[in-house]
Amino acid sequence: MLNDFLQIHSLIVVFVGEFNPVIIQPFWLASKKLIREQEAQTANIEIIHREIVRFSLDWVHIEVTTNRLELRSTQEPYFEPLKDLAISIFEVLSETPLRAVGINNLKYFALPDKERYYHFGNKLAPLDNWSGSLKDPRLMTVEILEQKRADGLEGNYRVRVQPSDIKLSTEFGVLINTNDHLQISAESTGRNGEVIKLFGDNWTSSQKRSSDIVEDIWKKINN
Amino acid sequence: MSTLIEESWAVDRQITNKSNKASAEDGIVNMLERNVKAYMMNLSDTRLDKKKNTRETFEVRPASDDVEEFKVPSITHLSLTDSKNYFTKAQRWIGHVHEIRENSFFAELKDLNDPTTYEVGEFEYDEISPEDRELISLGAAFYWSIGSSYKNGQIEKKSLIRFQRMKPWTEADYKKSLDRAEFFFEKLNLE
Repeated sequence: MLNDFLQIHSLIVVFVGEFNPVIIQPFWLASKKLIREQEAQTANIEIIHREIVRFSLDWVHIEVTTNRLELRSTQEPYFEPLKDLAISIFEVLSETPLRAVGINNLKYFALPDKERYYHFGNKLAPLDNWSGSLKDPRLMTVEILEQKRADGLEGNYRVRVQPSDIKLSTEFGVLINTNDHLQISAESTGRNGEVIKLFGDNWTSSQKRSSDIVEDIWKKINN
Repeated sequence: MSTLIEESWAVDRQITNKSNKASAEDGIVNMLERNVKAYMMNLSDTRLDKKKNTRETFEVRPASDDVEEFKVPSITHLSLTDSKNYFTKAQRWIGHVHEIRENSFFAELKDLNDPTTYEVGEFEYDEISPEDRELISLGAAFYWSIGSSYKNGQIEKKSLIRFQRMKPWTEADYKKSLDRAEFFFEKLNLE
């Protein structure tokens, strides 16, 4: 299983809409009982500005701009609390117009050796196709798009495979990034909790799909 | 309207909102000004030590020669993924409290990695973070994870319990829920 080589799993949830960044601050979250008081007191606030707010708690980094809100964590035990936090923020700010949500799972695998690393890239995009034109070709990035979602919802699904952009325990790091993009129709106002409902309803299946895709790629590559 | 992750955080990208071209520097100056103004309000004779101001620090020198230094916030070049602090491959459960005793509670646990598996566990109050204890009630949900975390090079075995925090229900929420229940009840043909 590819999961045996998983070293870092990063979850990044992105909301697209219209935001007033300065509202979303640690003490506001604590006042709404969405995080612990102690967490607000020890939050690392990087910037609070009318255009951007960025801070981190021990388990989540939050960045809000006027059209984008991102929550990030590299700690799996907090993925569910991150989901709850996102839902609760927009249940409190129920009038906030939201257009789309993206659930990005970034999985960093430390493959144990050069052979498996090369084989992985070579199977994804056969390098023989390039051998006449390029000397010792290597795969850098593959991005596959599911234009029309299999579940019939509006949005798309994207998988990107590339060498790890951070240092892992071996030199042979691979990053698989899945972007589950859900959006509402152009006619919706986005002010009635449509995106949050999409997010909540699809959270479990989205996490499962991301894992299944990774294992499926690995299985096919090693067949 | 992409929800793809960006290669870096917004400040690194420079904000290019067409209606208001604020920039990273604008944000930094704004924060510093606020801090310096707040500090100067409490001083009668203060001068800025221009010579000592650098890109990294901003100093205010009161008459007493005590130097107050404001650090310029480091808000650029934050990596996309925190590779020094992560917790991967955790065994995770969601629990629901179903019996409360004097010093402990019992909960039904559902394995989040394999939702078909159910277990029951007893948890001592001492295992719960003080701020979460007020959330212990019948039906309350919590997350329990076991695994190894990696923090700045140190691997630690951890067992984490965190009670679910959601927006508290308002009277309007209860009413909405009752209305919904009534609506479905009326739809049921019980005769």
